[in-house]
Amino acid sequence: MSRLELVNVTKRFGDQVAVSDFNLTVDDGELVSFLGPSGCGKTTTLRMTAGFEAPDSGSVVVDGVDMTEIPTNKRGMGMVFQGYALFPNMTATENVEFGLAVRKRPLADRRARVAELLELFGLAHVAGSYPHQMSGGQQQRVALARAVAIQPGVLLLDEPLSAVDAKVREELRTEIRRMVTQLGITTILVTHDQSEALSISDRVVVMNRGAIEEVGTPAQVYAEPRSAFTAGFIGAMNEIPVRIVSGAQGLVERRGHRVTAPGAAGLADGELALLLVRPESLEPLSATNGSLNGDLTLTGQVEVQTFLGATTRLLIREFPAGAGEGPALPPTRRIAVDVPSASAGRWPAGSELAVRVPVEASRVIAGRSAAEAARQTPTTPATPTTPPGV
Amino acid sequence: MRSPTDGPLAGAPIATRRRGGRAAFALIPFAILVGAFLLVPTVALVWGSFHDSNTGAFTLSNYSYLGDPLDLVPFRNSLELSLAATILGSVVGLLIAQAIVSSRRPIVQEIATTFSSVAANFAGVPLAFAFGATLGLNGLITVALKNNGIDINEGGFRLRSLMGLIVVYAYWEIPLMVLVMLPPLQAMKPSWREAAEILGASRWQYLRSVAIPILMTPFISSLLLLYANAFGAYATAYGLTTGFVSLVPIEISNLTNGDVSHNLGVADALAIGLAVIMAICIGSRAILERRSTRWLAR
Repeated sequence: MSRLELVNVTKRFGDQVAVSDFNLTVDDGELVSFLGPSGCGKTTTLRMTAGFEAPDSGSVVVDGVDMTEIPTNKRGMGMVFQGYALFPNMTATENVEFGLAVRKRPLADRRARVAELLELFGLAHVAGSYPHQMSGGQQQRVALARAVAIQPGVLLLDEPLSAVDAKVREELRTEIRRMVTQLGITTILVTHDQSEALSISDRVVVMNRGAIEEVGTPAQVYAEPRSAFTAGFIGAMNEIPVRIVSGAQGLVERRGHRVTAPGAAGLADGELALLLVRPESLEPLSATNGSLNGDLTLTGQVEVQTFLGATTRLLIREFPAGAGEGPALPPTRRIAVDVPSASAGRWPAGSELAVRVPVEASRVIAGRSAAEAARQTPTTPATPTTPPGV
Repeated sequence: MRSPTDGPLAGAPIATRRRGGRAAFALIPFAILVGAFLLVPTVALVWGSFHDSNTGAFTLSNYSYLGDPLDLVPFRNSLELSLAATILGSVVGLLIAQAIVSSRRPIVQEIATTFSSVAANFAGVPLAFAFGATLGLNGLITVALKNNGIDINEGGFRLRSLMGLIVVYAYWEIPLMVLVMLPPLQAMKPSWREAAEILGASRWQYLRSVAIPILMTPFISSLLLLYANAFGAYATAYGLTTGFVSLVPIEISNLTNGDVSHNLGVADALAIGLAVIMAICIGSRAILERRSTRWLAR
């Protein structure tokens, strides 16, 4: 177990700033995910931690020791690579044993440790198999076993589940969490898969354009995103334009209806803002547009139904504002509403629907919309994705 | 009468059987090619090597060269020449291939691959002429060097000798090595080195435990290809030495076309010896390739 600190770490490739002034402390035994779109600097940060890339400035500190100038093979870290990187000329046993062999551990100790790990990861039956003889899931387990065999102070996981199918991915997620908890290894997981990050991490670092967008527990970054980027990147999020009526009272206005919403306090009066609300928080109504028991309502026409399993997502185009409905606001993008699939038949495409926006489940943020933020990053998903099961 | 449901495709859907039939039909030209240019000549060679070319009677005397050290000289020369050319070609070719991969510039890799493809196929009389014109007794480079006080012939170098042939063979063996080693070198994943490194391995430990074992198979496979390539070469050696150096292909040619030493039976027997060596090289290479392909699959 080790405490990892990344202090003011910056990396440039030519004119491009890959990582900018990155600061983070990962506590003993903590599992922290770097989450962000491709090109946001998460893998570069991981590679600087491992020593494969040298930071232009800043330092990597483990247990108070500055590792920045220490070569990779002396850092005592373990790493699982995106494509496993198992040595193809070695069996599962030999792969797991490799790190111990180069450390010249006694043969008996090596054999005992390898046997223990193969058992722990359920690999005993493929101990003598070569990587090409194993399934993707088995290869991934061997890669994990190999990385932890040397009892690393810090374990680095670079998109470890990206090459396995959905079912195996879910199994391995649980296994990684179990293994990290059991062995108590300080772990950094790099992923662009929000559900992966949210489901197994103690904390999530949301990254965008080489910088930390925000850090928080999975519940915090999902339920209370502090930026439009986080809101748009993690799960599906509706963005409803509102105007701040009173920042002091946290009062916002939309189409002549005023409500008190979390997050609005402190914003400048008259400022345009966004009310963020998850699709699963919206409640279909049969009432009209306006304010209902202190909540906002929206009405529109159902354009598309998307079956998601237990729920069905309705995409609604909101009706334009009528005369006398207050100052003009930017148009709302399609509103996503998740309803139980059993009742989705009540709102076929083309039907009218009113939904309640419960303010207690929403959050107001200032600034540009998530869509605009996402457009700055080429590979950010353009459409809302399925919310994770947290 | 044979039922339509007999045979290996019995029970298979009709569409599958039709596809199987079409595939077999498409193989007919290939089968004709293999039959006409491999099977028939091989059978003719084997038959001819056990029969007296004058009387047609069965004999083992065509293989008497196997017991006579003097008659084995062409084999010894061919083996030595091929070995030397293979070693020279493989070492230099491997270094060049590694340099190309390390450059990480696609344009360098493209140019090198194109040049190697051309050079590896530039052989025979044109190559012999090119070398004669440059490194022959009165070749351009020979004369230029002599004018500058360097006489390569005085040092014992003769183009029309085994050493000269080694240099000429290296001309296509080096690019051939580049061509065959580039794919395995390019298939080496940087993450293997990084994985070894983070597990605590030094550069040498990575090379010894991972890189060399992985590359050993394609390397040996390439050596076999180079060796077979050099062993079977005829036109370049003949064009350069006009039969002055005794090599197996040249001896076969002499026995086939010569007025004095004409003996088709012995030529066939020598050709069988050459074919056996080639078959060992190519067969071993095929076996090694299978393992290499699995390891270096992307």
